[in-house]
Amino acid sequence: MLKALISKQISELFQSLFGGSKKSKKVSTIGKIALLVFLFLCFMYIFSVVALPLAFILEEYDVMWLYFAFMATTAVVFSTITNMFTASSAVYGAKDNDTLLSMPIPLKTIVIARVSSVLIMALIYVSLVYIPTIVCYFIACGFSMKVLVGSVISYLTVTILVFALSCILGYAVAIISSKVKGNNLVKVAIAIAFFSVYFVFIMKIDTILNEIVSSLIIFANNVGENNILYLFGNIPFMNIKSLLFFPITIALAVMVVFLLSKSFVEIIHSEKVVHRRKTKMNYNSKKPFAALISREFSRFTSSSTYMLNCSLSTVMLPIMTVIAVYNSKMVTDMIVSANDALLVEYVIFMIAIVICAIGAMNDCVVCSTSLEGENIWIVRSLPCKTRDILMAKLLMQWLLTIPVVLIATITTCVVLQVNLIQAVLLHLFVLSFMVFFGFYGLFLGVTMANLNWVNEVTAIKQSANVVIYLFSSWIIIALVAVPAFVFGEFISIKLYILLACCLLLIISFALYFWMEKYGVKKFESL
Amino acid sequence: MLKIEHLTKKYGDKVAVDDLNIEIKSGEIYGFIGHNGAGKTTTLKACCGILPFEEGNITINGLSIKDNPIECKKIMAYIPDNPDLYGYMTANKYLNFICDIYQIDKSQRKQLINKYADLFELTNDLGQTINGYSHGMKQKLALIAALIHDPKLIIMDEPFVGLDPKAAHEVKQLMRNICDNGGAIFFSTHVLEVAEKLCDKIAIIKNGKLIKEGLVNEVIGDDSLEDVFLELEG
Repeated sequence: MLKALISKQISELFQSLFGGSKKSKKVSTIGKIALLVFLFLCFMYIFSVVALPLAFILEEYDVMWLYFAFMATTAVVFSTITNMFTASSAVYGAKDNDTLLSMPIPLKTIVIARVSSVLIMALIYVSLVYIPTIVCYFIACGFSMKVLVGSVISYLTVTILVFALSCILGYAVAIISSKVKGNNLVKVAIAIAFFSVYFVFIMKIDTILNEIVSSLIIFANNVGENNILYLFGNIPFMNIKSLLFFPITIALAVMVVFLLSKSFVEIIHSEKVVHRRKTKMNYNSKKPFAALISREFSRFTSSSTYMLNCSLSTVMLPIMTVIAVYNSKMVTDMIVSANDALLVEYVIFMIAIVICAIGAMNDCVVCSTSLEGENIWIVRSLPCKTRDILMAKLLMQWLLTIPVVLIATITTCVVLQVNLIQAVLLHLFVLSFMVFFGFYGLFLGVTMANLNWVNEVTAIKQSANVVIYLFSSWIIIALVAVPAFVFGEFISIKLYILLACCLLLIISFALYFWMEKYGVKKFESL
Repeated sequence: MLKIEHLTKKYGDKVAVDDLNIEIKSGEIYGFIGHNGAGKTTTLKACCGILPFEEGNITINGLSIKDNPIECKKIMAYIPDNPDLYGYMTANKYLNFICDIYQIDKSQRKQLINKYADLFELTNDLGQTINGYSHGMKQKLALIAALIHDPKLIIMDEPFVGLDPKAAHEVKQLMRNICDNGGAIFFSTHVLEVAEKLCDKIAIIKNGKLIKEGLVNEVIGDDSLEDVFLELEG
């Protein structure tokens, strides 16, 4: 029974990533797998850029336990925060919870099956950090079978710890959600407050770890053999005391699953509790296209998962603009002292790249089609053009992204006191990227739509189109940014920006043409 | 009103609907009966423009659903068997959305929403999110949304499932009134007694093929519809 439920859970996860529609062909599935593997490798490369120099430095001082402690902590923090909302939705948000409860399946079995997807996601996220960690260790210190076996145990320990922490935090999210039902903006505000505390904590951790790395010998000499960090970092070296972490984390995970199953039924039915309140009936009319946009925003604001995962830029860009303005003196002083017009242009270009990278984190247009789910019959049976339905999705993406991007670019122009041409180019460049990402996201959203989800988290975070969009958008930005520096001798930065804008707009136009001719047909065939 | 000519719909190798020909005139309540998987829902969805089809032609008041989908949808309404509505919206918001698409003006929509909400006893629940609705309430809301723009053709997939007796009675009355005023109803049902009493014409479909069609009296003769259906199904 448990095997059947876990198998169902895994197949739902695979379907969301690799597509399970009747029309999906083997070739496109292989293509998707290949692309996802490529993207995961890119992500692992990013972590290896941190891990490799650290491994070499710490190897010199013979404190490799610190290396594993540092990377394990990174894996725990990165993976837990990424996985906690998945945990909440995966356990409590699935549409077939009632169906399973009505069957002769023990409650614990249902909960274990549900959290199996959390464990799988924890495995994936931890792999992104830990596989580069192990590889970089072997590059720096040479291969050792003992360390390989120890690293595998350490990897499993970290994964189970991430799983347990994700479930605990997911449980907390679900409790808060059940108390604040219906008010998604409050849930989002609470989540943002949590993220803010988390980021402050991360910044402090970074300071502490920097101090540790900069005073390695002192720290290493002062750390006792029973220090938790020391023990955790020594798991790969098969330290007997360290290996106790493995059964301890398993015990923690078991306790967490027990806790979840105790409150499972109450939490999943808290949504059904109705508080009849007198609401004023609204009969205001809108034009059909405005009604479609309003529908998109209603869907968006109805789900804290949707808001938090798909509009990070809308929250982060204004905050980072304020932080950047606060710390702008350093940049302006550097520019003034350098007295180099070309440097100013490169600084503006780099700021534009950062704004585009953050702006690309909004991906609501990508999952919007999938989120139609079983409701798709409504818009398909109404007298509205499919083109208008798709444009409404696109417009929502732009309305959430472009205003905050403009705030960032205008602030940049004011603070750096750029001239008119530089200001125009900066805005043109950033807006071209946002227009392009909108069309690109819509293309992925329609061509790789997955309407057969049981839990909306599948459509929002776990579908192939979302994963591909998030990773590839940064790769695209890098592909546009890097040549500016490589070919800086042959082409002025102004001309390069202009050419990049033209290229982005041409591709955007091609994607618009695709939407009109093929995207509409594709949506109608879903 | 509705003309289905040589409709064929395939799902891979499986032929769901095979060379179907049906004509529904204004003023007719047309029942569509068949076993599970016979092709009823496929036919209904094709008529609404939800499901594309490879062969054949479907016209509504002379307009092809393939060539003029928007114009066809303006004069028709569709109610599925299991209406998955926007759970995140309140009923009021959902009805306003429907009215916006059909461009019903403010004063008229208020009147219509209140009229149908009173008829189906949903007035006190209009401010509630649809997520909190029972199946029957969702069915009623889907009916209100379908009726609110005064369609000429209503396509319904098992409309009586989940309705309480009073609501079912109201729906039957409404169906008759719509047809008496020149509209047409095309609906599928498993409740043969309802089909027998309510419909002007019925069609029986088996494995995608039309096996019997015509006026109710002609189809059932002296037997009951149940007997005829069971005999034809084999």
